[in-house]
Amino acid sequence: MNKITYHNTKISKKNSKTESLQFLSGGGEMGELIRSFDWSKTAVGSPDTWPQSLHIAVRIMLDCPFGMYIAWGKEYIQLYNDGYRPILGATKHPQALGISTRQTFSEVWSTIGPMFDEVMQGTPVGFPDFILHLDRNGFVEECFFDFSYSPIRLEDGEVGGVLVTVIETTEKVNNFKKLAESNDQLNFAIEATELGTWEYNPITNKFTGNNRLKDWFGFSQEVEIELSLAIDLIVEKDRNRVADAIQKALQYESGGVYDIEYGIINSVTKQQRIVRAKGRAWFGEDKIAYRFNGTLQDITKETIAKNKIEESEQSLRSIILQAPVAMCIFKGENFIVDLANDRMFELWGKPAIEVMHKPIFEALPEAKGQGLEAIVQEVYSTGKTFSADGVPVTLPRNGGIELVYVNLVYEPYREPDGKVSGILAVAIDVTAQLTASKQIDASEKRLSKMVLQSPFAFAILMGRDLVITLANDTMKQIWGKGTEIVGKPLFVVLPELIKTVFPKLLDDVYITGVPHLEKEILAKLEHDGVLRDMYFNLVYQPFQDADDTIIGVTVIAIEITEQVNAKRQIEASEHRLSDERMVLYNSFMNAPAGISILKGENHIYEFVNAEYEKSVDRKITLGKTVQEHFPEIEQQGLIAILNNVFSTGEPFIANEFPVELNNKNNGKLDLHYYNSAIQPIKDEKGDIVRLLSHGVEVSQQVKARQQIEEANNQLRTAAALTENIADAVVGTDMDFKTISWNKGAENLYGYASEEVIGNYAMALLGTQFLSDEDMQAWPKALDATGKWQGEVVQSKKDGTQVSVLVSISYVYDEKGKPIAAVAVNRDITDRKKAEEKIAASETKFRTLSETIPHMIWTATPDGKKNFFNNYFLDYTGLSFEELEGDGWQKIIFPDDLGKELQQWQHTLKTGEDLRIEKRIRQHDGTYQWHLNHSIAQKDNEGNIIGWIGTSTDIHEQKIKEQQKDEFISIASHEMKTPLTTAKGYIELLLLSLSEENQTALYASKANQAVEKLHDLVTELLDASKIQNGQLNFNITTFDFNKMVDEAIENMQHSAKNHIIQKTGNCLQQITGDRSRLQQVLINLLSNAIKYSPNADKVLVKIEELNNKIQVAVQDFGIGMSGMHSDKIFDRYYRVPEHAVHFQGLGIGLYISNNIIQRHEGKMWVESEPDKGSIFFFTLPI
Amino acid sequence: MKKVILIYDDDEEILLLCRAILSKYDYAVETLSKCENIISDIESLQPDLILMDLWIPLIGGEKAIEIVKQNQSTKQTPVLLFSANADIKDISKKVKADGYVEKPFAIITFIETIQKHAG
Repeated sequence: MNKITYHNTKISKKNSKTESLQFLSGGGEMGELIRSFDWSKTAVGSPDTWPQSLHIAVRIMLDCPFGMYIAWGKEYIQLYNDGYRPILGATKHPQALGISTRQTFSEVWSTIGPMFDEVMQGTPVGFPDFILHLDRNGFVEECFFDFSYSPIRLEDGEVGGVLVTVIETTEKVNNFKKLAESNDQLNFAIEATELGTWEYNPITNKFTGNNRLKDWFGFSQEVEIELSLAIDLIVEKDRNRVADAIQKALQYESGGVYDIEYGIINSVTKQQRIVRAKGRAWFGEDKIAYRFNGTLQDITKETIAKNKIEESEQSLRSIILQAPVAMCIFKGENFIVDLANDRMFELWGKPAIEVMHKPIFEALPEAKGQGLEAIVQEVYSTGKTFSADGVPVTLPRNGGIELVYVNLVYEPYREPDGKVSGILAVAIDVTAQLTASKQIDASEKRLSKMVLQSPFAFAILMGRDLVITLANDTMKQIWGKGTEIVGKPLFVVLPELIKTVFPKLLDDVYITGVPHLEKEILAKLEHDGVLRDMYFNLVYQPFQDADDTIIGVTVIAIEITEQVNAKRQIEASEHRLSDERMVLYNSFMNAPAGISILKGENHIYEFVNAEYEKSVDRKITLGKTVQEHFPEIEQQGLIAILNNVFSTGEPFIANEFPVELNNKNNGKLDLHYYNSAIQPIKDEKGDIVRLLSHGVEVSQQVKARQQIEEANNQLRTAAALTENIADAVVGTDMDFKTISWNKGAENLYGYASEEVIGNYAMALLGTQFLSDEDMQAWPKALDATGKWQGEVVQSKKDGTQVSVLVSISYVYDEKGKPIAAVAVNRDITDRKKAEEKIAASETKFRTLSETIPHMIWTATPDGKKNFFNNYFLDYTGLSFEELEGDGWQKIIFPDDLGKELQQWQHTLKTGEDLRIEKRIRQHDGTYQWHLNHSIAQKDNEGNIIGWIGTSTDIHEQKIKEQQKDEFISIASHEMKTPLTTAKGYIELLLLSLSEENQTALYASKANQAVEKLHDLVTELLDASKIQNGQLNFNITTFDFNKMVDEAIENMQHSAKNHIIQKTGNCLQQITGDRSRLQQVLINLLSNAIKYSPNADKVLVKIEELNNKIQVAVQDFGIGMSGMHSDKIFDRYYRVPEHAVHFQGLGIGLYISNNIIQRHEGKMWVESEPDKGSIFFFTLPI
Repeated sequence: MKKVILIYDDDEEILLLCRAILSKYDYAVETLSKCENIISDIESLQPDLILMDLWIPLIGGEKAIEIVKQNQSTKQTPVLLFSANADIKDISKKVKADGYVEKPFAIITFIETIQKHAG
């Protein structure tokens, strides 16, 4: 046990084994193992023989929450703490304790051995982010550690061993990985959200973008583009504004924020878009931007919509401004005055400049506290209109405050989406109508209240006779003459006052008109036949009529009898005599210091106070000597001191004077410290006859200080030892004043130890806790458990902020009392930053997903959906609560749900991407085809931590696909028909070979069928050529009329039931592809015949209009409804109701329309079901 | 007396071909390109067998066969579905046709099927 004596504060050792092991107290399981280990058999030897630096190293190690490990001596005998155990793993722990590192790490000794040797030479070594595979949680995981090896120096400066500290960096490393994953997720979101992304390098002035952005600008897919090229494509009116915004964002002071909307014009297609660019500039330590990146969103549609909204808002505004009543709009929950007309400003009694764009209750504080706040709040939150008539409101008027009555209407002001964003207020001032009568009522009420309920006594005395005209209850009580006194002169009621000063005072006021004030005046008033001394403060005032003639006196009286009496009593007791001796005695007896008076040269106790007895822990018998009470002090030279004062008369004064006194309980000597003064007391002759001893025991303080010094010594040794630890190690005394500061701390905070030691490091570093709870919890936790661990933010010397993981623990003395604190502070800024980036990335994803017009959802690993973006909710018209978990299943088309659930279950098990097409119910109840793409989000171990998915509307494509499928089936069917004929005739031909005359006929029939098949194939080919833009034209100038006649003749030939009638002529020559145009006409004519099976004619009408020729082909057939007339020219489109009964590929009109368009003409249809159709086309002349 | 085969098809070439083949095998052939008046057609032409195209104005072959098969006076008349549709077998079962002839056909199969149902 280390013991401190008053003359020597150095640590001395006693070689008792049980005591020497107490420095190993605590330390969890490894503490126990180390204590129970038989060290005497190792090269380190038994703990009581360990050098001090090893003691301290082990103590710090056991207290430390992080992994630490000591390899001691040339043999590298190992000691380690609980934190280090996982690093050793199940195969090396606990065998490693007490054996050589050489043995424990034999498999890598060839690598680490030389490093250990180097450390023993005094050179620290470190490895950052060293990978280890540990089985800590029942499975093998990849872990990362920063290892640092530092020498432990002996007192003589030699290296005694190696201290290894490990800092787990798995989280940091994983965070960086997560960040990368999170970026992937972001990219996916960007792809899904149809955002353009850009990245600008301010140093090279080059910028790059994703393909979408380049498409928008019309850039080729080059890698880098000069910024100026992009700026040139911004519409002129926005160009300077954008350039300014970029310049501003690149300045450090701006914070790098960039958010701007502007127009761009595609350099190739000249298509104009409105885009919103958002981004951020990144600055280096030199405050110069090195990177500037962000996204671009096409908001053309939104902007157009917004403009429309703004237009309608503008018109509302002009209505308000011109309204014949007071009107205004308050915006937002603070009710900011957004707009108000002049009448409203008049009502408020303030000019526009004082109220516009300010919260109304701030701009108009006069209106506060009248219940209006609650009303507007109610309207704002419920959206219900409030209206009331004659509402009283106090408002500024003519430099003062006046009560105003208004008829009020508060109407919720709604955004286009129906959300209440403010209040539209209408007010009509009706004060003039309402005030008059109210004022009269009020003044009457005020008067009667004043008189009757006043706590002051009040009376009105009329005439020089002072007839009591009015007296309130208080006054009647004071007078004590009952209540039936009105109408009587005052001094008739109060005859006892006639011979006093009062009649003259009152008469003076009545005559002169000068008010009179009297303080503490005595009036002897008779109450129930007894005269009572009563004191008053009085005011007499003249009472005047409307002509200022004095007609009486008013009296206000306040009775102060009790106060006056109390005051008099105190004054009476002020001059009591006191016994000086008594006082002195008392003050001696009760003094907070130990006082004794010693008489004569033998120092006989003549007087002692209680404090003295307490401080020496002894009952003093007066009349006995000091020597008799304290025989033990003679040896310590104390009697000699008393003798010296007595003989020389020189006072003895000493602070922290050590005295060993016998402990009356155990007979041993206890060390006490006193601040002591011994003074001589002389008699009248000047001889010293007595000593006055005055002492204050300060043992507690001195011992505490000595302990702190001891702690300081230990901590300083510890500091030397922890010098090379990467973490900041800060030792403090119990007031948290810094007493040690290692290199790690210097490196982390930038303060040298001289700057910190003796100061409060926590304050110097501007320590901020993450929460108020933390701030309150940490001292409590320290006191309760001796430990606290938590995160704080601190400022370095250069002002930058660092996130720090603090592990603080108390250092205890041998009695288990805390004497100092050691904080091991770790810089976790990187980790925090990575976490923040992840959070930011997450937020960015959420924000993106909330704003984009695309359905996005996420799900938990077991497939329960836990997030839907706004678009999803809008699209389905359902709330999050309705969709969450498995709720989304109700919006899937029942036929598609079974298949999806089956595949989804499979996907949940395998983690594969899932692409599935399904129909999703829209808010209006219709189902639309969507492509659902689900992707697993995995952590770095490949565990699924969630799902993210998008649903893309593919309804049109899907329908088209179905049409294509249908087409293929029709086409194959169609081709079969002529094939049938061909085949039939050829077979007949074979059967009839003997019948010579028939053969030629059959052969020609077969030929015709083959030709038809050929035509069909040609048509199909045309369609596919149009699709690929390869349809060729043979342009000539020809007689249009003749071409039409030929087509009609041709068709009439095969039409058995219809007559084709032509009206009108075109006498002009037309330039174009004659045969293609004829193909169009034949297509229209054959359609007209085909779709009018019950009709007998088809009309063709040719007209010459301005610079163009118009052709109409009219049938009287089945027709179609308007919804099909746009789609009828689409490839493969067939009117659904007719498809079953009429053959066709659905490509004839597609081809025809395309041919007309290529001739710069137009084609359209007018049709009515069961009446027929007219197909038109025009061609330029 | 020759057996009468009534063929509904809107493709003139097919009708001509069928007429040529069936005449050769000594059948009388009637052809129509619309089927909505099928009951009166049967009553006036008294066919021994009907060949019915699937896609034919105005009501379509399926509906026409259903009408024949639901009418007491005509349901005895055998009707064969006559189409290039790949699902002809299933469709003919569905509409309760007496059989089918798939386009394109071999003359020998065509004649055998017709002989089987028309006798």
